Amino acid sequence: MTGHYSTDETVDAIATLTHTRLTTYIEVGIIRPCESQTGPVFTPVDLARLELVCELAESHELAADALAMVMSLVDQLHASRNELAALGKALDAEPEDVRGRVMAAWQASLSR
Amino acid sequence: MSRDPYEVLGVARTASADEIKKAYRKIVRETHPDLNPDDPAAEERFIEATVANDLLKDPEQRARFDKGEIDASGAEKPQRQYYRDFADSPDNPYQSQRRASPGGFEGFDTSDIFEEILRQRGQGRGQGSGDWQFNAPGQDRRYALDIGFLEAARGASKRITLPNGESLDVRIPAGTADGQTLRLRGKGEAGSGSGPAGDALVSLSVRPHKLFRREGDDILITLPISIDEAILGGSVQTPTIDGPVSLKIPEGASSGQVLRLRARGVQRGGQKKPGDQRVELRIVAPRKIDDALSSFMESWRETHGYDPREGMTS
Repeated sequence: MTGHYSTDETVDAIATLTHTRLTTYIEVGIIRPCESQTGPVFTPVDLARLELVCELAESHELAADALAMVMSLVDQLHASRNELAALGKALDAEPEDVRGRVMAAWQASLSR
Repeated sequence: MSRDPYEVLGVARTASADEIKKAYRKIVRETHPDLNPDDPAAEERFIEATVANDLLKDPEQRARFDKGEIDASGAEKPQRQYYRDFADSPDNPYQSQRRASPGGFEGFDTSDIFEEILRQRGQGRGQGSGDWQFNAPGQDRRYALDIGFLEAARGASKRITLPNGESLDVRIPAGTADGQTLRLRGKGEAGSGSGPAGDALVSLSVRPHKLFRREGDDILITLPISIDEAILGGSVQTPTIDGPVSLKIPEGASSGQVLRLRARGVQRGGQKKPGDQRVELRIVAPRKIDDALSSFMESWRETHGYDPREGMTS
């Protein structure tokens, strides 16, 4: 089973996470738990995200508001990378001459 | 062999706790895999620096290291899953789905970035709409649901009832895999202004079954058979995900032999053919060995003995 983690299991899984911290991260919207019949639960992606958030909080002593902004930027960085990758994939499927023209136009607009 | 932690952080052995903290912060900024997703070498430096920092930030550990009582290797977690490993997945609930505007690719300007931050914070505090004057799509809502093995294999209709009494109906398609996320369009939070509603993202966890296992669309089962069925062959009943069917055991079957029941596996939507059920045979001795059986075996062995381990020990 890939597993859904309860609040207690999640706090146990991450060394620097406490119940208070988790509640704050949920309040400011950094973490959005899943709703289930048994109350809030967390998935592996939440655990990986919490680990990153806790590391940033520890190493840079960031308050929840600052963390929320950092995480929003991280999310948007990933979104932009995904979009760029998707665009690249779409272009790779085009014929050679189309790719050539787009690449030339791209280079030109970067150096403008 | 771990490198010297002072060298890793680039500080002198006499560095103060504050200098160590500063050096570590700088490396985190430069190398954290989630902040530098395109640099594979960064992860290595990050782990190294974290191990070094864990050792040096603790005055007691640092003193023991300085005295040579412990070496530089810390408790390094193997095979950690970073957030970036999930970040590219279309199922990532923290990735708002931006649909390309029909006009073209231009128009992603920097003000989007701050609107997004404001939107997330606003909704994080539970003021989904009202305060903001712009039109924005509603936020996705996340749900988690545990389902049975057969429900995942054959498909099912489920209802999630939350502790607050709200409920959501979910149709599980046949062949759903453990860990899969279903997206129900428009079942999330309402949008602001004329923005569309968000989606419901349902993360599924599949409970294991006591008999069946799954490999893609194939169902796997281990089926016990008796000695006489193994020797003489014959028809036996085997469970399948759609109820029992009869299976022909060939004469002289062995444990570990796999028989294939065509098209008795999972029928996923969009697939032409269902998977198969693969039946692994396991010969089970009778619970009680009576005199008739042992005396028959003894006399049979005298004249017909064979060695199934031939060549294994030579």
